[in-house]
Order: sequence, then structure tokens, then C-alpha cells
Amino acid sequence: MSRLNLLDRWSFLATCILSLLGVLFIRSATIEQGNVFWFKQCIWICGGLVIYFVMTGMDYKKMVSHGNHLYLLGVLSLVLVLLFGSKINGARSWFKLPFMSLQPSEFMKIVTCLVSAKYFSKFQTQKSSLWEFIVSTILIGIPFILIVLQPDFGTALVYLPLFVIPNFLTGKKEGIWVTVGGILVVGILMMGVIHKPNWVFFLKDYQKARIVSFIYPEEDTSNKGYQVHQSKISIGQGGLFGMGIGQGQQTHLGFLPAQYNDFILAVAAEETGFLGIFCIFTLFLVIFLRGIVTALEAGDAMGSCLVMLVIGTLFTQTLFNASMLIGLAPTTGIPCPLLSYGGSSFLTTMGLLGLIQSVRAHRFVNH
Amino acid sequence: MKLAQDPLTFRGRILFLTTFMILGFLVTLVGYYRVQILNRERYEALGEKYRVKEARAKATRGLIYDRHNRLITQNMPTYNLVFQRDEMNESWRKLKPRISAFLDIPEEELEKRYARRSHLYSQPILFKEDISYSESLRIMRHQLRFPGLNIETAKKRFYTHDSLFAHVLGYVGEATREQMEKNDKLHMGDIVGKNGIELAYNEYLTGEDGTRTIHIDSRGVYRSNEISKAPKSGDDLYLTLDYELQELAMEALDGHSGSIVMMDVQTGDVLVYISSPAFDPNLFTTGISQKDWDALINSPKRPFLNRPVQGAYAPGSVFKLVTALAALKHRKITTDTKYFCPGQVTYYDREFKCHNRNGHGWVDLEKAIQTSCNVFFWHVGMDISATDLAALAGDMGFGKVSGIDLIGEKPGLMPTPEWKKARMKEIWYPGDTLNTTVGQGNLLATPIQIVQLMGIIGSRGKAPQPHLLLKRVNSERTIYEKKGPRTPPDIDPAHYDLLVNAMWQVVNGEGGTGSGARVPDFDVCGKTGTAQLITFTSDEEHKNEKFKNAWFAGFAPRKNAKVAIMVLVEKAKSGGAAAAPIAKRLFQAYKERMEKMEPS
Repeated sequence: MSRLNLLDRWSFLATCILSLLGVLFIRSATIEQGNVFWFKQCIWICGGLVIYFVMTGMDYKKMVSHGNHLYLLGVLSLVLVLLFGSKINGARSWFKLPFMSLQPSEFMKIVTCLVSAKYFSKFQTQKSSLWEFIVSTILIGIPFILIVLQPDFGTALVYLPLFVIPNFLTGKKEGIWVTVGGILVVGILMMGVIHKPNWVFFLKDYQKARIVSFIYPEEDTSNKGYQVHQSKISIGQGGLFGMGIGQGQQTHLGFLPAQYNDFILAVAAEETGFLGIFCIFTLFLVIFLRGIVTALEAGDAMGSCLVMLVIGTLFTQTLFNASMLIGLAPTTGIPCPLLSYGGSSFLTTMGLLGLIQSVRAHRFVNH
Repeated sequence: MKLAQDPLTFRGRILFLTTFMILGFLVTLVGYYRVQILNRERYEALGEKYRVKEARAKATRGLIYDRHNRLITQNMPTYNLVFQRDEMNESWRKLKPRISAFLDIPEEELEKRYARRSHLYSQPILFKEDISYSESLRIMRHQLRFPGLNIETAKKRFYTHDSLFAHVLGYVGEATREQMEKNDKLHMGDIVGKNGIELAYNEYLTGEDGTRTIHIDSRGVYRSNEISKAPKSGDDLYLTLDYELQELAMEALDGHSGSIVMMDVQTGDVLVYISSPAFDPNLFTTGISQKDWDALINSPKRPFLNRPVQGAYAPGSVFKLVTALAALKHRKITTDTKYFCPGQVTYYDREFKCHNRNGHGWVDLEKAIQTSCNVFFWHVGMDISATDLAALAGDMGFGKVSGIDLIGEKPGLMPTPEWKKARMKEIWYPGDTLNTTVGQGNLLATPIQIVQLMGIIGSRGKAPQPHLLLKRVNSERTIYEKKGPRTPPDIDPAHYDLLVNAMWQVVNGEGGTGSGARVPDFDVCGKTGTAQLITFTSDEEHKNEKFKNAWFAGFAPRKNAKVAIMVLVEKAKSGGAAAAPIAKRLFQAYKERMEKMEPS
């Protein structure tokens, strides 16, 4: 286990602090329902740490080489969940097991990162072309579409950076323009949903409604915009120093929706204030910047690419969740990494962070 | 150990992405800054709006007492059956049939009530209003078997003596839409005074509502429910009325339609205020049924008419007192003036008949009043100008509201030539003046104006203001309602003495029309009146009591008069026969009470 000596201590420390803060806020948010939630989260943290260390110890190159098999397994699980999964909040994305509910779309994130990294590992010095872009798009597109079909718009959204990051890193200049063009198209589609919802035929009505409610959250306080409205009240009430842990009124009187998972950051904002949010953002930034350092020091393009993919999805997830709470982004079911309650989400995040550590621990060629 | 041999070609792009990432964090942080620091107060206020609800803590309506501290209007507890969702321990679907069987209320009715529940979870749902006390006890006994069922007490206005004080107290009811629009403190279902004292002093009686601050959670469960501003109960009112005299007067009237008002001559305190027939004001407190309402409104006896202040009657011979004062003042007669009464007089080809068809012979002023001779006053009417008579009557309060503290008082009518021209487009005939002198014709007076006239004569011009409110008492102090003295009419005191002596003769003299009101050792002075309701065309009609109202108005004792009285019996034989004996009983009772209080 000498590889563990090469572990990035700063990143590990930030991960641990964020996980524990998560338990604290989950406890605060669910104390009226008993001790089940934060206790379970503690178990996930233990499990997550095991995964984290196992990943660190394993050579990422081996994992990437098994990417194909894992990918097939993952796609199969996504198909199965579409056929036999149970519906929670309108999305058929869960396998109900006796001790926990499994969300294959979460674990699929790791697999997709691996398979994408494998595909781009050969572009250490040469540039990828449009062809690679198309192939990788199909590769990531299959799980993406399966998740959209569930329909779990939020999780699918986190896959978006996987489409663009490898091409952005390895592509020719023209390829980058294609990428930028792609981002523009997505942006225009978003605007289209907002202003002319009838023209966008491929989104479900509730997804359109969510996007629209994101534009006018405060006028429509009764249903669609209610969550964001209440979340903004929680956050706003926190002020600079917050109301104190366990003192959040919005949280404890139940006005804040889904407070122990998707809206956990609002609990943090209400109880620890802007300073708390600032610290949490800093901790995330520490993890990501340390990750970037790893990407720069990585032994090969495969590792570098892998780290950038992982950071890309985690960053998107964090920022989207945070901006959704204050109405900067539409309300979709995206949990906050490390902080939100939930086994699948937490274990996946720890797995992804473990991947970064694996790249770091195996950065020396002849070790 | 060494780093990879081929340096990565995309380091620059990684750094570009890093910048993008840091920028992303910064933008989001600015977003949080805007919400948490710049707009904090706004969101705090919004949060408060959801968490903190304010409800009214209703003030208790003030009580009403008579002048001797006897309660005549109170607030009775009533019991409402409510259901509290936050106390139920099984689903409503399961509970409903059991509650329905227990309370004997059909399930559909329960469901209808349940559907009206508030979005606040802890807000009780009203199942049944105003249940009996025994029913409430039965429910309380079985409460543990039906968690959620509860009894709430409320208060209901209750008039202790039913209809006895109906017209003076008035009644209460729910505020109308117009009232709520005018007064934004009023809410749906609030109880306000609708009539009488309840209306006139509604502001004093209402008090001031307090505030109840309720902290709720997202389900509407009350986390705390406290009175943050205590309600201020309404003032208790002490009226000038005397319960015993009032009851005696009602009994003496013996179910006849009519009115009795008794007033303290020195202060203007109204001791008795009766309008008959009356209604039961308790009918209104819980909402009167359409049937009861129709019965009251369509009754030919007009129980809703507040006779003392709204009934307009021809005052008949009682008005001769005013005519006498006017004639004395304008020197149309003196004590020596005598006219011969042959039983009738002809004036401008019209025949005016005295009530005594055989005539009274030679009469002077005193005898004219004592025997109520019409002919004497007709002769006066031939001399006096209608305008002078109306002016003096106006000074005595005729044609004007008395200003008693009740809403809706009518001024009656004091006819003048100008009035007749403007209103009836006819000129004033000399015969009109003759009619007016004996209190007939177009002249209309309210009973309160008659008792006021007695007050003025009895006190020799002091003109006390009739009023009903003695004092009001609230938690801080007692406030005596003082009415400022009114300007007395410009009359020579000697003229009053002349009248008073004549009025004493009416009751105590030989052949006086008001002998029925005589009380030994009390020197009652008075004047009877028998007002005709139509122009008689035959002696038959003259004798038919259907067409006559009987008056007696007087005061006692002769010197330092203490109490004035006015008795009106509708459709009765004559003032002397129907009204004077009622006045006698009241004078008698008053005298006894006075002697009891200050034994000489």
C-alpha cells in the first residue's frame, strides 16, 4: 500500500471535511425524522473511503483497459433499469434493493470517464479529428440518451462536459470550433425552451415547466417556482454568519424542499451563512485545483484526460447544484457532490475522486 | 523516477479550463453574495411571511347595566364542536364513519365541513355551531375515543329580560358588507350593534381586538400560538333606565300598542323607555329565521317601530299647553281672558266641534286646560299667527329631534305656512291654525318630544337633554356622560306657573280630565289628550276607540318637579281613561322608591 503515501493530502483533507460537513447538515435537516439519515450517511462515508483508497491503490491504466467491459455492463444496467427499475420522483432510475436503492446512472459516470479516457489515450502528441469527436459523442451519447429516457434530466446534464472536454483538450483548432459551436447550439436550445417552449419537442412538459419556472421563480410561488423561492429565502436568511447549526428556521419548519439531498447547500447557507458557503466553495476549489495539478503532472494523456473528465463532471455537478438553489440555473434533480444525502451519489463521487488519486499515485512511469 | 518523456501538448488548454472553472465559482459566489448579503432583509421578510401568521384575538363586547347596576345585557358562553387535525391519530377516512355515528351527523355533512378546512393544519375545523351544554359534556366524556374532536367556547349576546328593553337596547348581528367596506377593522362574521344602544354606542361596546401571533411550519402546524397584543374589552355601559319601573310600565300597558317614557326632570335621565309591542332581540343574535322575520315585519302592530323616537303622532290636547304659552307670550290672552264654549264654533263656514258637545260655558285659561276645552283654544287660534305658534313650538322641541342618544330619531312635523306651500302646494288656511292649536291637523310629534315638553314645563324652562347613557366603565376608568345644558326657551317664568297650576287642576281639580293619575301627597300635574286619527264624520266614529290615541303627559311634584312622564296608548278610549291610570301607577312606584331612598 505504498501507493497511499503518494495520496494528495490536501485534496483528501478537503474531501473528508466536506463529507463530515455533509453529515452535519443532513443531521440538522432531518433531526425531526430521527437519526436514520445522518447515521446512514456515516455508513456511506465509510464505504466511500474504502472505495477511495481501493481506487487510489489500483493502477488507472488497468481500470481503463477494462473500460470496454465495464461500459457494456453499465449500458446493460441502464437498459435494465429502464425496463425493471422503480420510479422515484417520476424517473425510472432506481433498482430497489433490500438495504439500499441503487442508481446505475451514477456509477455509469465513472465508467463513461474511463471509456472516454481510453479512447483518447492515443492523442498524447497528435491532434484528434472530427471523426474522433463523432465516435466519442456516440460512445457517451448512448448512456446519455438512456438516462434522458428515464427521464433523469439532472444526471444527464452532468454527462454534458464528457462530450466536450476530451475534444477540447486533444482536438485540432477546427475541432475546438466545432466544440464551441456545439455548446452554442445547446445554449440556443435552452433559450428556445425558455421563450418558445412549444418549438422544443423533445423535452417533457415537466422539464419545460422547470426551465420556465427558473426564469420566473417568484411570481409562481404555488408550485413550480416554489422550491427555488423557498430555497432563496433560506439562503437569504443566512446572511453573513448564518443562524447557527440546527437553528435554520426554513429548514426546521420544513419550508425548504428536499432539504437533505438536492437542497443541502441551502441548509448550509441558512445555518452557516455566506461565510460557510465561501468555505465550502473553497474546499471544492481545493479539490479541483489539486486535481488540475494532478492532470498537469500525469504520466500520460490517458491519465490527464481522465482527471480532466472527472473534474469536468464534478465541477458541473457542484456548480449547477449551487446555482440552481439561487435561481441561476433551472431546478433539476442534481445532488451536491459529497454534501448531499444518498449512497449512489456519494459512493460515485468518492470513486471519481479516487480515480484522480490513482492517476496521481501512478504518475511516475517506472514505479 | 522521472516524469513522462513526452510533455503533454494540451497543458495550455488545461490551464484555460482552470480559468473557466475559477470564474464559474466566482460568478456563483457573487450570486450567493447578492442573495445573502445584499438582499438579506428582503428574504428575511419573505420568510417571516410564511412562518408567522397573525390572527385576531377578539375583544369581548361590553355589558349593559341599568342605573342600579342590574345586568340587562350579557355575553353567554356557547359551545362549538370543532375538529383538530393535528390531534387525530388515524386517517380521516377511517375516522369519519365513527364520528358520524357518534355525533349523529350524516357523513356527507361531515365531509362538507372537512372540505372547508384551512391550509393551516392546526386550524380547527368547525363541525357544529352552538351545541348544547349537555351535548358538549357528552363529547368531552368520550373525547379520548375520538382524538381530534374538541369543544371551543365562544360568546353570544344575551338579553336577560328578552323583549323588555328591546327598542332601547336594540340588537346585534353580523356586520354587513357595506359596514365592512367602511371600517377595515371589521371582518366577516363580526358582531356589531344593529339598533338602539347597541348601535349608538357600538364603538364603546366593541373594544379593541388584540393580536395573536402564530408560528407555523410548512404543514401549517402551530409551533407557538400566543397573544402578542391583548385585546381591550369593550366598555360596560350603565344606562339611566330603571329595571323595576320599566317592568312595571310594561305590565301596566297590558299588551296595548303604545309607548311610555319617564324622565328625570332635573337631569334628563330617561328612567322608562317603552315601545309596545316589542320583539325578542335574542332572536337576532344567532341569526333570525326567515319565518320569524316575516312574522315581525308583516305584523300590523309594527313591533319594529321604535315608537318613542320614530312614532309620529298627532299630540292632540297635550299640545294646548304650547298654544297657551304662545298666546301668553304674544299677549293674545291673559289670565282674565274668557271665551264662551257652546260646544262648537263656526269659522270660515267650517264647523269645529268641542269634545263636550254640550259646551263648557264660560272658560278662562285654567279651566280651558283643566277641561281641555277646544273652543277656547280655537278662539286663541283665530288671534295668533301660525308662524308665532310654530316658532314657540320649535323652541319647545317640536319638529326637531330631541337629540336623545339613539340612532334614527324622527323630527315629527311642526307645520307652518311656508312648509305647506313648499310641500303641499297649497296656501295656509286660517282653519289650519285652528287645527294646530289643539294638536291636530298636520302636526306630528314623537313621544320623546312630549316628555321633553313636560321636562321643560316641570323644571320651569330648564330644558334638560333626554339621554340614556349614565356612565361607561372600562378597565381604566369610569366616564360619566355629561350632556351640556341646552338653551332654555324664552318664556316668562310666571307663564310656566300659570300652566303648572292649571295642570295640577287637571289631575287634582274638580272635573279635571286627568284625575285618573292622581297620587296622594305627590301633587301630580298633567294634561290628557285624545288625538283623533281621522276627521270624524259621525258621532259613531267619535266614540269608536279604533280611531283615537290616548295621551297622558305630566310631571310631579308640582314644586321642584322630579319626574316627567308620557303615556301613549294607541287606539284607546281617551287619555283620561286609558293613559292617566298607567301614569298613576308609575308615579306611585316612583314616589315609593324615592321615600325608601330618602326617608323624611
